[in-house]
Amino acid sequence: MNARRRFLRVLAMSGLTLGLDACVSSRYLRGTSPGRVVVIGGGYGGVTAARYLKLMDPWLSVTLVEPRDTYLSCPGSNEVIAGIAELSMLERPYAAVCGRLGIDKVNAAAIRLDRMRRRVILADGTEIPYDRMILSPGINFRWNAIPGYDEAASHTIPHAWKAGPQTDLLARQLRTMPDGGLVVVTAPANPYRCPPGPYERASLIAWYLKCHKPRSKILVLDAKTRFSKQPAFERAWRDLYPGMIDWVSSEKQGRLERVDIRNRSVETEFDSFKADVLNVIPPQKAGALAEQSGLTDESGWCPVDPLSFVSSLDPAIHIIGDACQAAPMPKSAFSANSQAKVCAAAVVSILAGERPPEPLLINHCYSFVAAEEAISISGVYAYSAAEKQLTSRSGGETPPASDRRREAVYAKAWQRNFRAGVFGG
Amino acid sequence: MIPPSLTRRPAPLLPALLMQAIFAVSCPATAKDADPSLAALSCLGCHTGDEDGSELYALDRIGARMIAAELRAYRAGTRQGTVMNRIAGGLDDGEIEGIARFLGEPQ
Ligand SMILES: Cc1cc2nc3c(=O)[nH]c(=O)nc-3n(C[C@H](O)[C@H](O)[C@H](O)COP(=O)(O)OP(=O)(O)OC[C@H]3O[C@@H](n4cnc5c(N)ncnc54)[C@H](O)[C@@H]3O)c2cc1C
Repeated sequence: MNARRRFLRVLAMSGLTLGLDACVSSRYLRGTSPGRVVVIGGGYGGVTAARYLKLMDPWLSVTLVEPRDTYLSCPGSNEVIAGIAELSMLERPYAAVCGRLGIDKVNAAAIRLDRMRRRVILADGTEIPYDRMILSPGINFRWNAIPGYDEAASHTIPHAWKAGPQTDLLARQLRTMPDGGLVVVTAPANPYRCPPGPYERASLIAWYLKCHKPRSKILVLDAKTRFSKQPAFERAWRDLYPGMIDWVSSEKQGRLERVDIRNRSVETEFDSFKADVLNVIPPQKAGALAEQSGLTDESGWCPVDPLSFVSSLDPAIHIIGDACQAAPMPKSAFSANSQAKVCAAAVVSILAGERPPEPLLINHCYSFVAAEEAISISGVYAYSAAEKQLTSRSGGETPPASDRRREAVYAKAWQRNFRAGVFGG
Repeated sequence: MIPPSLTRRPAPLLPALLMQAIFAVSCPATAKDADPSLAALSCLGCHTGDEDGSELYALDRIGARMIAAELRAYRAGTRQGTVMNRIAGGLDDGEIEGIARFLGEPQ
């Protein structure tokens, strides 16, 4: 069933489309708000927001500004590195969702915002006016935060933290390294995109090496002293790759002092490591447009009120996804999707002159530890009006002794369903 | 009129949940005003049913009453899943009813 019919059927069946006065908090579903909403960034956050704006209010004018024709999903890209999946499987065109839902897609990057006049400026000088804007630009890297690691360095020493050529580069380097070689992965301090991602990557690289180059080793140099799903990851490493993965806490090695691209080596405060394959996952901040437009604070991320994800620095702009500060929610595609739905409902409410409904958000992330084994972490988040922040209601992660094969079946189904739920026509 | 189920206070979490205490920290819900339809939309992050996701149930084919009963069983720990116990642990009775009504097939 297509998304719109489904959504409307869901609404009809839930009885929320009739007698809405009864359900005060669900008024956003009435859908009669005039207005122009511009969404910038066609990632998991932006596309979900555009989609749900149109589902909630088909009469709204919704424009999606995104330079690419297709999106490449980061979830699933660690499998590409391990040779379990192809990059092309992670690609989704915008045409289906935009065509089906009546979203105007502008194939260009927004180069500047004129916040005073509420206009988005494109490279060719075109101006797009908005009543409200939703910004989901993802992340940008803090180049040179680790001396020696800048954008040019990433062409030989991949970060592979945005899916695409970087993913291929890391995959190729693993294919050509010798058996018995050393792979070094560096993981950044919090907060960053996909907290369990570096450890999923180490696991899947180990899976590849175990199959093809079993004498090799992996060293994870971490800027943290602990990490997401640690007990379950460490148990899986002991079970599946004994002696292969060495995780080193920042307590032991201190800061990363330098990356030497010529030698493919990294220096910590106490040591130096020469790698055969080096993967530097650099520290991050909100996407460049957010920073250039003055929507970030000293943390480098965008402060928001998570009732509506409206920027604390501009009352007409909402910011969702990795770029916003929504702690304790982690920066994940699932979070971006949940935030986008809350934000869409809020935007529709605000345009109708009403207070946004009070949100309840969910995050749920799987990590593969082998081709057919996975673990997960989940959380439910409520809104605290007093603090204008999210608070954790409940949550948890896969315990060390668990059925990882069963979770892998769910994890694969999640990837399929999730991509269809965002990009499907 | 607001259905009574949407205004009811959360039930205390049952001791069975303590089995998961270390890896699933649950605190009793405090907010009473969250809009369950928004939580329901987040559920669709997995349960979309748009593609063949037979392992993750497409909830619109399950009755609302059944969804509510399952969520309560997950919350109480009388039914063991992988992730659903963690998520149901964060929902109060009114939210469970609201989510089930929003996503499930009505009876
Ligand atoms: C290896 C890896 C594995 C991951 N696995 C998972 C997982 O299993 N589960 C999970 O939930 N999350 C996972 N994530 C995290 C997930 O990818 C991100 O959290 C998610 O993509 C965030 O969505 P977003 O919309 O904020 O940003 P993005 O998805 O990065 O989208 C941003 C978009 O904005 C566009 N854009 C940027 N600037 C402009 C501009 N000026 N004008 C127009 N467009 C612009 C970009 O082109 C891009 O399309 C993973 C991440 C990585 C790196």
